[in-house]
Amino acid sequence: MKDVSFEKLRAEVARDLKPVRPLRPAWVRALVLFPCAALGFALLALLFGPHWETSGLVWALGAFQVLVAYGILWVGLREAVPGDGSGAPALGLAALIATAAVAAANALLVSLRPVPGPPGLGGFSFYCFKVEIALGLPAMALGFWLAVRGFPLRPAVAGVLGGLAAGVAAAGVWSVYCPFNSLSHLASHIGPTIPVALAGLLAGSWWARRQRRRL
Amino acid sequence: MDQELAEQMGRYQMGELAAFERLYALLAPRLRQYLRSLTFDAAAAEDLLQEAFLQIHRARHTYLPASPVVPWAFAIARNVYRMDRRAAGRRRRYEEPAPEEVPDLPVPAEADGLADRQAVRRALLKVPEDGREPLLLHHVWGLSFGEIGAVLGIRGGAAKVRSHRAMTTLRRLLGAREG
Repeated sequence: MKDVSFEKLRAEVARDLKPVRPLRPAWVRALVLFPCAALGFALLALLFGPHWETSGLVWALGAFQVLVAYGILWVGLREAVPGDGSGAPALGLAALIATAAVAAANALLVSLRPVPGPPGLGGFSFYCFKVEIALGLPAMALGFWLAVRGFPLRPAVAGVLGGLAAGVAAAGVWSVYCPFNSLSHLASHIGPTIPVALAGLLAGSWWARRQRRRL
Repeated sequence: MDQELAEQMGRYQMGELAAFERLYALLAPRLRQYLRSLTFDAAAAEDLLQEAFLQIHRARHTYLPASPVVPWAFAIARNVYRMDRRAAGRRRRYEEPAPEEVPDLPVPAEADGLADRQAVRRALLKVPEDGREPLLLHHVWGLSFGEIGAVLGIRGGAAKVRSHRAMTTLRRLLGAREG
């Protein structure tokens, strides 16, 4: 004999029972980052004209950063599937390795192909910072939307990973446009990943509170 | 059973109510027992079970075909418990039973022969919570350590170590009692 609580639950489920399409695996959903990066590049080309860097090294390291961003987004989207997320230490390590890889790629570029730029580069550095934020925030919003289309049990973690991926991808795309490579300028390329990741964290925390209120 | 669960989950995703009923029949006893082991409160566990199935319903599109259903469902149920505990934290809804009470905990088969069931339950209560949960998930509900890691948000290796330590503690507690 079925109990009353089951009958109530059954009725509620029956009211909302429609076919659903299972989510695609995280690695497939994360592929959206590549057309996004291409779109970002096209937008820059539209705004600034065909003044991108022609050095193969610059392009290779830019592409490397987008690949690292893809990896971070993949891990972030796995968080959106219950029972599929990684442990907290593994997530922290992955984020650390990804950040270190981006810093190393930029440092390599500075050492192999230094372009110090004119004196008083500070203003331009701030410009780079702003452009990357402008590229990163919409990408973060997309990553967050992809995450909450699933069912993240730790939305803040999914949000921060989505933000980190967006920030790293924005740095990769902008690196093929910025003509300068110097150690002092490096912070303006790596630095914007932090506020974009924080924006993802805030979005995730907001989502978590919203979920708790619904319970 | 795992194959049947996966098949029913596929039919549930296609919108079959009968598949939901079958899934409930297969999963509810295990989830109820799991939630009881977390809350020590049959009524609270029953409430959380209903909420867990509602969340399972909302999250049904995130089940990846052919993957195991049990860790997916346990992860959702555990999240429901965690959210409720956070909300109820100030009210201290979930209190461990007093030492003289016998907690409503399932008994792992490996520990069944060590002492009578009530004694095992009392000893289980003294096992630290972070070890008790992986121990029960493995020895009672048969989840692999990789699956336990996915449910608890830790590495499979860490789940194995915690479970092993908890079992050692349990044996020691029961041995000490017998001696």
